Amino acid sequence: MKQQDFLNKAYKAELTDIALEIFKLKADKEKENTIEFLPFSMCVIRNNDAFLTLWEAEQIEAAITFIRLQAELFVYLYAELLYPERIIKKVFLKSKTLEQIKIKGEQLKQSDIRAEIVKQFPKFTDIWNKYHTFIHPSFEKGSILLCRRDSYFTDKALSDIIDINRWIMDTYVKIKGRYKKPA
Amino acid sequence: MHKFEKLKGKFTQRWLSNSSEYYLPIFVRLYNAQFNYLDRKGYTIPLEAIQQLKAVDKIGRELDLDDSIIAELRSKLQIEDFDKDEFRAMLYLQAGFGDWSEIAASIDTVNRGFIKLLEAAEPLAAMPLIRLQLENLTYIAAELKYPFRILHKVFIEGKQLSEIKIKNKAIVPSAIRKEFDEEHSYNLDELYKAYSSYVHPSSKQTNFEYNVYYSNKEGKEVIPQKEIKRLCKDMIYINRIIAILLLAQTFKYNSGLIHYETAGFSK
Repeated sequence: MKQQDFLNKAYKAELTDIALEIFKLKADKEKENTIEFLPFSMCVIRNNDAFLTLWEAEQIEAAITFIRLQAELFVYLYAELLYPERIIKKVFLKSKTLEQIKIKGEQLKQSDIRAEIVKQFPKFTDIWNKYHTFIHPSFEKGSILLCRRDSYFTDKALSDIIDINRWIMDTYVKIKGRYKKPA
Repeated sequence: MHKFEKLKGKFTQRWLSNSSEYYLPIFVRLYNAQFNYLDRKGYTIPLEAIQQLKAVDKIGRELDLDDSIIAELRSKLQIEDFDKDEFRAMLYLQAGFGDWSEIAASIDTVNRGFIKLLEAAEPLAAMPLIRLQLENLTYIAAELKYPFRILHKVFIEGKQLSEIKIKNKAIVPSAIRKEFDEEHSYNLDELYKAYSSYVHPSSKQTNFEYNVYYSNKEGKEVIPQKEIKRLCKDMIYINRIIAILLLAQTFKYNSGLIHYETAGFSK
């Protein structure tokens, strides 16, 4: 996704379309009508919209919070890639948290999913480490609050959220590929 | 009276977009109260010592307080019950800093972001910010319970709240909230759990309902004012608690009702 596409909110159509495509493919292949990817896409769109609203209002510190939320959504989607039909449906339709989901009798841990993500997307570690503290008061948050214009964080915030969006779409395409009928 | 000296009354919706102006007189009073409290205890460092620290470029947002500097400055003071954290706090106050700058900025950032998102008809996106404001409130509550021992460690030393030990026991953020709930009949812990569902992916977000209409005049979706008022309720409640806690602490400092055991704290 290019920066201008992101700023023009092209992600709205892309994320909605791919969720609907997966719905149709699942309905055809598995005769199952579940819409779990639609609320997931809505959450991604929500975070992108919020980031842009605050970014354009020059409220960078608040905008950065949504990079952290987006990174967590990506973790959930990647978990779905690793464990098909076990994550997104349970979280968005059956009110489970990731930590409440068991795979082969063992509770899932976010850190394990992140370790898998890094194998394919090495840059994810930097982004997670940089932004995960923004949920709580922290040294990093304090430094950006008081020294915003010179901050290491603000320069890259826009490109970082675009990267996360690219990875989400990448992962989405792989998940969709699972439900395609063989030619 | 200058505008920053005058208290602004109860926190209301209109202050969300300008909460720095609302909180400024509160924080000014708190800084003064803390300074006077530490002064009464004998921590006032001679001005020439502060100037010497500035001269060797040791004054900054992160002061380099090694043991030799502390020993040297301590020798200039006559204090019965010396506490390293109180001493550090006084040094920062006299140098023109305080422990509250970052959290004050964070409160304001969250408030402004929150109302901005509501006005942009993005209420679901605004909900996680209520959780962030509750985080600020938790940290403030911890600082008020253990003065000079929390915010500096978080914002300057880079510790998380759960990594800070008081008398060798780690702080548990949820326990801080529960304690304040019991003492003051708040429901902070319940609110924290409710709004955590908007931070982490959950089905609660798909069931979020709100009124919105398309305004032909403005050419976009708009949330009615009555609905914005409903959505602001919890954020305003949290801000009111923050203000009450800060003002109550200031009163305690000024009236001499504060007494903290220093036994077991740093010497």
